[in-house]
Parts: sequence; structure tokens; C-alpha cells
Amino acid sequence: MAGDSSNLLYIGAILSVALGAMSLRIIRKNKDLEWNEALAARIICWMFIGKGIQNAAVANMQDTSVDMWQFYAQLSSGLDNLFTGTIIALALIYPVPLLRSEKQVKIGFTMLFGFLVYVILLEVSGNPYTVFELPGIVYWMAMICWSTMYLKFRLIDPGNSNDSTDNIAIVSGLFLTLLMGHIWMWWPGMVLQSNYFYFFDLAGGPMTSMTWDYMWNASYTICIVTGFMLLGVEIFQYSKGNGSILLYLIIPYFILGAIGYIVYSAPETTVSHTRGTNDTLASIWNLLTSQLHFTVMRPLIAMFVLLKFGLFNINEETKPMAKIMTIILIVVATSAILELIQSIVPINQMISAALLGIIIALGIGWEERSFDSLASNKSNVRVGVGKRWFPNVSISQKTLERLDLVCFIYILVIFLISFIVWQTDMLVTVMLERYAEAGGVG
Amino acid sequence: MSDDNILFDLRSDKRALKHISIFFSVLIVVLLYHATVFFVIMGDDISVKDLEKSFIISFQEVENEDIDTRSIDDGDREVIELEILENSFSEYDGFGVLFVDIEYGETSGQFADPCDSVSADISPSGVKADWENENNVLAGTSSSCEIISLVVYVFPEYNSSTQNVSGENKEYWESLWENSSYGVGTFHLEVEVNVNQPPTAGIPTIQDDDEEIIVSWRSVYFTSNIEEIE
Repeated sequence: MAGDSSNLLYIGAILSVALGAMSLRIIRKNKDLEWNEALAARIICWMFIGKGIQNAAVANMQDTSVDMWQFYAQLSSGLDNLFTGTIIALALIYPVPLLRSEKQVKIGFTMLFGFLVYVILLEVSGNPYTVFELPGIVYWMAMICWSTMYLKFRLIDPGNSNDSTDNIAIVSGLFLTLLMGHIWMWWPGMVLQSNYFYFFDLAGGPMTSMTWDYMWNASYTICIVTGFMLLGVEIFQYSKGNGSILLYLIIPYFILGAIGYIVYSAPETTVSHTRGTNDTLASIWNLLTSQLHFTVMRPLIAMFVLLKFGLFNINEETKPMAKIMTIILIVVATSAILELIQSIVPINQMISAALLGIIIALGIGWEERSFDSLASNKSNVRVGVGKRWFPNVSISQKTLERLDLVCFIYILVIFLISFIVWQTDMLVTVMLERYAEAGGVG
Repeated sequence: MSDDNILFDLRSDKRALKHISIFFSVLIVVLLYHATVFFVIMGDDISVKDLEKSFIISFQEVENEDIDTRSIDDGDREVIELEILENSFSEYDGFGVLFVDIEYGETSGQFADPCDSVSADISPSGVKADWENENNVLAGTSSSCEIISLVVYVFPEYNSSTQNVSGENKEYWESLWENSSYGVGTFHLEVEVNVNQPPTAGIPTIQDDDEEIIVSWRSVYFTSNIEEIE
């Protein structure tokens, strides 16, 4: 199953990089966006370029047995920090900017960038995976920002409720799903005190302290509470005839979580999102749920937000590329899911090839209609919402281009640092030290 | 200035403040529950989960012998096969090692006839085995009627001896040492005979033109026994 897992990660890498790079090209041509939308659009693009490279790094790490795994591990860690930075930045400015003035934006983004540099310094000084990195901060920040906005606008006084307020809540909920969806599938483990949840170990073994493990586990807990809050509010709104797409998106995560409890509760099963499991059925389940969320659902949710909420300016010039982008995403995602099913359920290759053809044809047909529907029927988050929620902040085009440059240089620096970590055997040294401290054998 | 601070807006909206307060109150209660489970109810188990467990892995072996006798003409190279069926060792955990002994003597009955030259080699064929193992002996020759002994290590890292390992759990090591795919298929042994003629070979009635070869295949199957060291 390791092979299937790394194949899926490669597919996720293609999806994410394709989404990020092509979207960035389209967004750079769009000069009409409001300041926070322009920033958010670019941040989403870089988030997925970074995630794509990270997926490829994790897949390579699984396929590498020699000491080069250190290069991929450090690359993955550095790009995960970029993901953390972009998620927090996004939560601070979109859909409603919590940073309301140029000064706040400067201070907020400088602090965020400083945090990323601080984490890199901790890692290159031989202190990776320590509590000083504030493990789980990405979930805390996202939960505070997007949950607050969601509750404020989804449960707004009916007299002030309109499509825009609902859309603000939906965008917040979509980003929470994008970030936390895989964790929602672990809810029974948290509630029923299962080993697979409380023994979860991201870095593996004594690499992380018990305090680190607690902080990470607690951040998963807040994600599950956030998920239940979304589910409860959406069911409540549905019962009042004001249901949204969010309900249909969230429910499968919780149902899959209930089924997953039976799978993961098998004796001696240990689970990790990234490293898979030691049990065949649990491995398959992990692949079809958590891994699929990481590699396929995340890019699809991001593409939906970009198209539906007007972050793309679809005109005659950009329409062909936007369509190519959506076709790539749909075709690759569809074929990936079918291939995954085939790797688990033995289907004759001729039948699966025919099925693939039919599904892709349907997918492209669906894409034609859904793309036109998305592009021509955009949702707004500003109309009818008090102006004080959307203050005007002057962000120049030059600043936006500088953001692209900073992200590009950051990725290059991460590659360089990863190379140094590999050449100096830094991770192996740290591992040996921590395993020795724990009294075990590495 | 208050326009710049989103907290003022949220605080002034009593309805939103109520919902947000309820949410964060529930969040704190659940976090307290989680902390109690993590540190008190499951604390002992969690604190020792990273300590490496050690295991002793020992093996019980069973040997199965097949004997094949051939007469090979001078200068000929014959292929002798051993076929291992998929279910032939299903009651064991794996196929560990294959020993092949090629035995022959001088059978011409002629006076002072020296031993013939016999060479044998077993080539990596379709069988899944540890062909790269440095302890394998895949070829040998003899001109003195000594037994040629070949060895193929079939199950990776299997060497019959007891091992001490650390980490993972019992099920992990059991699954590592249980695999029936190694050794299934047909092993091909190529044997070549080159006859050394007796000093009396010039006499027309005296000829040494073949040799009888006895091949014994000894397949070692194993069952692993894994015990945790307390």
C-alpha cells in the first residue's frame, strides 16, 4: 500500500502545482480585485504550489531508503511551514479582513514572516519538532478567525441576513473544511478515547516530546469541535430552509469518521496521516479518506472558491486557461480515484479503461456546464454588508508582485536548507540523540 | 480608531457575541476533557508508547528432501528442475534456504579411471528469492568426486539464527517473517559433465563416456516465534 499512497501523493502534487501555477498566471492579470481579494488569491496560489512540491517530497521520502530521506523530510517540513503561514495570512484577510488598516496589515504580515523565519532557525539549529515551534498553531489561528466570522455571519440577525452574509460564512466554512476535513474523520477516536487518536504521533516515536504530542493532539481536538459547530449550525439552518452546499460537504466527513472508527479500532493499529499504518485494511481506509482529502479535495475546494467567489477575472483572454485548469483538475482527480479503487478492488483492466473513459467524458461534460455556471454566476461577499467590514487599504501592485517574489525565494531557500540538512546528517543526528534520551534503540 | 479594530465590532454585536461565547465555552470544556484523557486516563500508556520494545525472534525449521538421479553424457549440459508449488509449505511461515548437493563418483569401472569434471550452477530464474545475498553459493565445480554444495537463501535476511530486534510491535514482526511468496516456482540447476578418460582409453573396448549424478535438494521451511523481552 505504500506504493499506492505515494502514487496518490504524486497525483496530489500534480493537481496542486497545476492549480497554483495556472491560477497565479490568471490572477496576475486581474487588476480589478479588492486589496484583500488580490492578496488572498495570490496566497491561495502559493499555498498550493508549496503543497504540491511538499506532496512530491513526501512521496519521494516514502520511496527513498537511503539517507537522502533527510532532504525530502526537511523540504516537506519547510513547505509545511509555508502552508501554515499562508493559511494564517488568508484567515487574517479573507473573506472578511480582520486586519483593517495598512499598519495592521504590515504588522500582521511582518509578524507572520518573522514566525516562519524563527521556525526555520529552530530547525537548522538542530531543534526541529520542539514545543517552541508552537505545534498546531495553524489550526488555532484558523479556528479563531474563520469560526468567528462563520458564526457572526451565518447566525446573523435575520433582518440583516442576505446572500453576501451567507457567502462570507460559506467561504469561511469551506476554508475550515479544506484545512480540517481529514481531522473531522477522527471524531469518534477523540470522543471515545481511542488509541488511534490519542496515540497519534506525527513525527514518530521519541522524535517529539509528550508535550509536543499533547499540543498537536489538542489542536486536532479544537478542529473536531469546530467541525461539530459547523455541522450543528448547518443542520439548524437547513431545518429553517436556509441550507447550503456546506452541509453536503461536511456530512460525509463525519459519516466516514464513524465507519473509520471500526477500521482503526482494530487491535494494535497505529495510524499516521502521512506515514500510513501498519495494518492493511487501515492503510486502505487511510488512503481513501485522509490521503484523498489532502491530495484531491483540497485543490478542488480551493478551485471552487477561486472560481465561485470572483477571485478569477474570467474574460476572453483568461477563459481558455481557466478551462484547461479545471479540466486538468477534474480529469486527474477522476482518474486518480478510479485507479485507487482498481488498486483495491481487482477490476479487469479493459473494464476499468472503459469506465475511466466514461467517467472522464462525463467529467468533462459536467465541467462544461459547471464551469459556465460558476464563471457566470459568481457569488459576492460584499454587496449589502456594512462598509466597515471591508475597509479600504492601499496595497500597490508592486507590493503584490513583491509577495510573489518573497514566496518564490522562500521555496528556493527551503530547497537549499534541505540540501544542507541532508549533507550534514542533521536529522539523523537529532533522531539518534532523542532515541538515546528515550532509552530506546534507533 | 474603533473602526480599525474588528473586536469593537464583534463586541458591540450582542447576538454574535453570544454565539461566539457559547462556541468557545464548549471548546474549553472539550479541551478540558481531552487534557484529562491525555494526561490522566490514558497518561500512563501514552507516556510509555515511545519506549522501544525489544523482541526475540527464533525459528523452528523443517527440512524436506528431494533426490534426482541423472546420467549425463560427456560434454553435455543438462537442466535439472525443482518445482515448488504455492501450497507446498503453506503450514509454515516461509521458505528459508535451499541447499543443493551434487554427488557423483567414478562409475566407469575401469582401472585407474580418474574422477570426471562436473560443474553445476543454479541461476536466478523466475523464483522470488534473496538472489543477491552474499552468502549464496550459486555455482561450483569438482574434478575429485567431492560433493558440490550450493546454497540459495530464499527468504530475505533469513539465516536460521535467533535475532534480537527493537521497535514496532509483535504483529509487525510476525507479518515481516510470514510470506509464502518467496521460493514459489521452479529452480533450474545446470549440470555439465566432462569425462576424464582412463589411461587405458586407447583400447577400443574401454570407454568412459558418461557419469551418474545424484542431486539432492534440501528445502528448509521455517516457523517464526516472536517473544517480547520484558
